[in-house]
Amino acid sequence: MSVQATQQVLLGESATGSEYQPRGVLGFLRDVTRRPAGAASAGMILLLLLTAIFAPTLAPYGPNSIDVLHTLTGPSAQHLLGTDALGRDNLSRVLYGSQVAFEVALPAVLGAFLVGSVLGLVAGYLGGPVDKVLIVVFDALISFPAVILGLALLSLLGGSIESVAFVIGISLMPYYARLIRAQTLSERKNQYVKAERSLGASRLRVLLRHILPNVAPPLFVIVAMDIPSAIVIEAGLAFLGVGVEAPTPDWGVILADGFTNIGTSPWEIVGPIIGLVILATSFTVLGETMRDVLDPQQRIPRRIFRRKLAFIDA
Amino acid sequence: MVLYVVKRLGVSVIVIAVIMVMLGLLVHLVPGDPARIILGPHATPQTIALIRRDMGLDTPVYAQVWNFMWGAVHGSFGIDPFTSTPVASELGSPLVNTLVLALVSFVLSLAVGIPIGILAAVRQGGIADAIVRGASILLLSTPPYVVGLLLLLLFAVNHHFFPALGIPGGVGGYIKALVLPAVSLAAFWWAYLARLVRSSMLEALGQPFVRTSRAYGLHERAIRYRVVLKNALVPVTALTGLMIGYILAGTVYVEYIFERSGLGSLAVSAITNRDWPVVRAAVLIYAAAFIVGNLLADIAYRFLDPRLRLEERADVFI
Repeated sequence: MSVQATQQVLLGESATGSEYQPRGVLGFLRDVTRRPAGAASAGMILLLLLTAIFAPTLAPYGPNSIDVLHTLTGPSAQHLLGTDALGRDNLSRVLYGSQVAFEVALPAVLGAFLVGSVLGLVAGYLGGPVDKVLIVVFDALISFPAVILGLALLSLLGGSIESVAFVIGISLMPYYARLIRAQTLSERKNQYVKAERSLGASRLRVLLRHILPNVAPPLFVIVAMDIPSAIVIEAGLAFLGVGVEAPTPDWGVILADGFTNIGTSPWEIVGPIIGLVILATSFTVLGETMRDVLDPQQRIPRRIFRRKLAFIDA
Repeated sequence: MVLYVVKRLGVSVIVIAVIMVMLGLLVHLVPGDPARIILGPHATPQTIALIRRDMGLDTPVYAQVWNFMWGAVHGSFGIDPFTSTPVASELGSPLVNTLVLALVSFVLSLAVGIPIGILAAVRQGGIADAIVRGASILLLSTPPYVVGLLLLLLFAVNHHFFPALGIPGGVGGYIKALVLPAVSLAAFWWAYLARLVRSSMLEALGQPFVRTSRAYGLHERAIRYRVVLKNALVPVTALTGLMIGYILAGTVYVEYIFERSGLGSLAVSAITNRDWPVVRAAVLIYAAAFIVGNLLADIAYRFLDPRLRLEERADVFI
């Protein structure tokens, strides 16, 4: 779906509104987890988060403890996923790697969500030249697929966890901004906004009390689908050697290391691959369940969510 | 329609110009001495002097941005400070390799993804449909570099069906070396397109014009492939613009994994060498390709869906 067409679909149809009215965030989450697919994927995500939090307790070895006598071994009772070229335990490194994944993805997505929402609300509500300038900037940023933006910025910023999170945040931000802007435009036309304004409410009050709650629900879905996107991008950049740097136990770093030894021992890449696929699948299923709950007939914003399946933008 | 094309073209030109300004300014936005930021802490005084001279880092910033834009429009991206050759001549043949790979992956995506989607829609609720839906969820969640690594492991390292690395000589070798990289990039789109075509075909099958065609006594096969499929492929057209951009971005990983010469592998090694002029030129080409792809897809989408064509006054900024 092209960006232009996406926005048209959204603008054209979101004005009709969805029939689903969630009773708060908790009510929405309850409705999602009541479905089997939602419960299973949410449970899996919870498990992954717990793994990340308790990685130091779960991991049988330290992420960087070297054992030169046992290098590039296959699976064994001592090392369930084998060891790498320095004799480090692959399983332990993968478990610690889930920490790095969330450390990058959560701030990146949250930052993109907050900054994008504010800019989108401003552009949509003010309109005029401010809107035009912001839209061109969003379009310019959208024209860089995340990995390309990563190449450009990280070559100058260097590959720390903070700069990788910053770069991924920048690449996700314009999508939130455009979405919120389009929603704001269609909400602004509604009678209740005019009524509220004529009753003397300030623009800011209308924006925060009335427009924001109305445009927010579809964003939960996009946040859910962006977290795995961010992790996939982060690991991809590290794999190319431009993101988080060795010896950090990061999934991308482990993949890159395993890639150089792929001819002798393939076991190193198994862990990160399983981690990435389970994580991305869980979030995809959760996001789709959320979408089904929000829009049972799949009539309204189906197409805006299609982009969010595009993990290839990694 | 003409008005739409002109407006849309205008916006694309503005966006490309803004991107050029961003890329021209970027080294000055990071705090610190630009030459140091580009070359890193271990640069020798000679290379620093060289990059200052080649990129004109001592001239006013607006002049640097202007020179970069003026050069880029004329197909010149400055001098590579490490090899002292023009960046444009270094980009030439890798760019061709990348474009060939992207194009082959694009055609392969459509050629396999669309038939799978049709199959799933026609056999809705059957075993084929269930397999397609299950497999597509899994494929949609697998990043291209993971597919690439797995294919490399299965077919090139363990069984030498395909060359693991590089591009061997000869036409046969060139084609053989394209197989694994192209499949790595297309796999995601097989899943994506299969789902898209399936759902839009099912949607089209419920439309009144299908009932009308049946009432006219049209053969079920003719309805399916001539009437329904034509309608179901319209959303695919809108998708192709994004596909081109994302396939191009994916080539970065695939070129790295299969050690193919290309724009992506050139950019990645340029980053390792801190060769900013080359990185910047490559990034600009990717962004421009993304914009052109989207422009063409948007125009094609409007052209194919007459309902959209009526909205002449549609605001192109939206």
